[in-house]
Parts: sequence; structure tokens; C-alpha cells
Amino acid sequence: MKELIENALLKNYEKYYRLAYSYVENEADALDIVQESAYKAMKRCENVKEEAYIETWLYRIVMNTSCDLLRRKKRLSECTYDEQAEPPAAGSDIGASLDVHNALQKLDERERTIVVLRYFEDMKLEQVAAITGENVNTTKSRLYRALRKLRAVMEGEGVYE
Amino acid sequence: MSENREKITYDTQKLQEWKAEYDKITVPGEALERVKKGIQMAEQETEKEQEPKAGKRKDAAGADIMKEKRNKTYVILKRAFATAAAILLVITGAVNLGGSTVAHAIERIPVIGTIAKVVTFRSYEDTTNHFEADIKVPQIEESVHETQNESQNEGKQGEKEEQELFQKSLENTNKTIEEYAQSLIDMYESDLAASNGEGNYSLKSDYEIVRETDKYLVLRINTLLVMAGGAQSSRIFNIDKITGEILKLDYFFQEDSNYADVISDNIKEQMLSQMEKDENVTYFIQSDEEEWGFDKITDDTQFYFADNGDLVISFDEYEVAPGFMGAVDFTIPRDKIAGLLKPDISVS
Repeated sequence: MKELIENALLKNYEKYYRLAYSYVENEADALDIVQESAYKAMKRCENVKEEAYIETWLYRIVMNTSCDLLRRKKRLSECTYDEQAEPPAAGSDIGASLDVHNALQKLDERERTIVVLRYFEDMKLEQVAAITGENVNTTKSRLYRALRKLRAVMEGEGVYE
Repeated sequence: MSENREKITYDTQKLQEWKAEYDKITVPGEALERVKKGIQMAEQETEKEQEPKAGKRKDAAGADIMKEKRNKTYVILKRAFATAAAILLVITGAVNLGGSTVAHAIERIPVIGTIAKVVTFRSYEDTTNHFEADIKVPQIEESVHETQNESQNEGKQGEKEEQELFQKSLENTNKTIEEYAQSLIDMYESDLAASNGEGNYSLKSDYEIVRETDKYLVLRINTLLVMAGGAQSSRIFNIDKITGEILKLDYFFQEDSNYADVISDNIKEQMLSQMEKDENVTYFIQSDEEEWGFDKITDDTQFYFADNGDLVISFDEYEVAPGFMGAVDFTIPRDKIAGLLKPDISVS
């Protein structure tokens, strides 16, 4: 099992990086998350009982590690409490200027996870639900809520260009 | 209808575009190295855990599976020892007790930022006329961040930041504990000042570690105030050893779940059945006649998880029952709440 997890990490690390990046929106943090997640996964590999579950489990670790980091950052900058904790670092990150980031920024962490996994990683709703640890119906209604928010972004697109 | 469909097509298109952008997020070459580093770190630590054992057991040349099994046992034993050591420290209040062996065992629990010691930060003691106070103020100390991975220390900016964050939240946690203890001291002093040297009054407050696991530390401050009658109260702090933060009940449960209702209903059931069985038992349950009785737990309700995963909810004296009942605890069986906990959070 340990070996299988290690293989999965090495094979899919780009996916984990992208997911992490979609949360933190900067390279340094995303790299930290990827390392930390790999570390956690290897330390806890005994927890995985079935091979089929590895992928879901790894995504979940990445998601939780990302959320932890965001949570801690938010707490630190609590005095400057604004709805979106930090603006993306200027210039240096190519991704930050992308349309998709503007859009994802309008979503909260859960919604972001669901949209990314469902549409960008092409997962089934069931698998998304397994990763976020919620039931399918909750996931579905969150997804719709996220899409409604996104539609607002799409329609007011000019504003964000 | 058709407008709706148009919108959906438009959504899909846009999402496709976004997916393309998402796929283009450049993954720096370093990412693979960092994954490997994470894997390597985990492996090195696991090896380290195995070392002392390998030294003792010369017959370790057996089958690999066997080796793995033994190692597991060893880890468990070691953790048990670490917990025992931590409790010992609390009881005696000595920091350097046990010398290097104890410290070593504690510091080898593989957690990033590690809370290792609970110490009596200060004691407030006073006797004036028939007033007395003995209040112990605990604080949590971070274990010395041992150079667990010397090889990995270079260029670990991220870890340094994380460490700072951890220290910051640990400071906050200690501050919360200190404030609570200080409020007891303040109460004593103002009661003393108001007494004009008359009356009997005793305020005693101590603390205990209810539970410690790899991830959590449950610290409980127990206070007994004796005037004409007595009043028992306690405050339980559930501390995340990794982040140093105090965790409230909502941290453990799924956001949309009705955990507060389920737990509250279970408490009420227990209250009713206890009262039915024993006429000497009385609880206040909110109803039309008794509007200030117990209704529902809040996020400030005192709690901790027992080793077997049961949830223990604790009420101060007078909070849900008349004074003669003292402070009361209710145990919510784990199967009642199993489906409501966040799946990625382990309470044990």
C-alpha cells in the first residue's frame, strides 16, 4: 500500500499542485502544501485499506492541508479582516492574472474545491462528495450555488478584465 | 425555458475555457522535488522510530511483514510512554523531571509543531482571615523543536513560517487559559474586598490533562468554590497540538449536520431516564414551566472526546441541575454521533 501511495504521489503531483494552487494562489505556498501532503500521506499510509480509495484520499489530504494553511493565514491577518484574506501577489505569479482565478476567488473554499474537482479534474459528483466528505446532495446543492455565483462573474465579465 | 438552456450552454463553454486555463497553471519543476522530499521526510522519520528497536532485536532478520508488525507495536508503546510522561509532568509540576529520557520520548512524537508540556505557570495562594485561595494557572509549553531532520533544515522557509504561526496561536491559547484563571483570581479578590473580613470562603482551582493523543490535548481546569455551600465548575480546553489552537465543538462536526440537536436530544433523554429511575435525581429541562432549564448545547459547551470516541459533555454545578447534583457530565455514545463528525477528523 505504501508503495502504491508513493507511486500515486509521484504520478499525479501536478494535479495536487494545481489543486493546492487554486487555494493559495502562489507558488511558494502551493509547493509547501505539496510537500506537506506527501509527508502526511506517507506517514499515514496505514490508514488506507483499499487501493481504489487512494486517489480520493490523497486529494482529501491536499484539500485539508490547503485549508489548514489558509485558515492559519487568515487568523494571522485577522486584524485586516476582509472577505478575501489576501489579494494574490502582484505580477510574479502567472496564474494570478488569469480569468479562472478571478472567478474562483468569488467562491468560498468548499465551493472552489467542488468546482475544481468536478469540472477541472473531471470527477464524478460521487467522487467529489467522497473527497469533501459530504453527501452527494449537499455537494450538488453547493455546486449549484457556486455556479450561480460564477454566472454572476461571467455576466459581469467586462468588469474583471 | 430556452433562455435557461442557453445559459447552461454558455456556462459549460465558459467552464471549458476555465478548465483550459486551469490546466495551464504552470507546475514548477520544484514540485516533484518537494513531493519527493515529503516522502523522504516521512521515511526518515519512520526509520528513526525503528532505530532503537533494531538495535535491541538482533533477530530482526525475519520476514519483512513481521518486522512491520513489531514496529507498529513499538510505536504504540512509545506513544503510551510519552503520554504517561506528560501526565507525570503535570502532577509534579516539575519541568525537568525525568531528565533526558523523558524529554527525548516526548520530542520524538512526529508532529510538526509539538506541544509537549503543561506546566504550572504560576500559583496564586492567599489566606486572609477565613478566606483562602489556591489557584494554579497552567500554561502549555512547546517542546524544543529538535533538529529532527537536520538535512532538511536548509531552505525551509515554509516550515519556519509555519512554526511562527504555531507559536502565535499557542500564545493565544495560553492567553485564553490565563484569562480564565485570572478571572477566578479577580473573583476571589473582589469577594475578599467585599467581605470586610467576615465569612468563610475557599476557592481552589487545579487542572488535569483529561486526555492526550498525537493530535489533541485536553486540559481541564477544575474549580471548587466553597462559601456557605459549594460550587463546582470546570473549564475544558481542547487544544490542537499541531496548530496550538483551542478547538470548539463545531470544529469536529460537519457544518450542515444537526449535531447540536442530536447531542442535546440525547442529553435530555438521559436526563429523563435518570430522573425516572431515581427520584433523587433532578435536572432542569426547558419547558413552558421551566423556561431557563437546559435546551440545547452551544459552541461554548464544555466537552471532550473519550478514548473510545464517546463524546463527554460537561456542565457546571447549577447549569442544568440544582446545586445538590454538583457538576454533571453526560456521555454521548459514539454511534450516536459517528455520522455527524467530519470524516477527515479523527477524535481518537
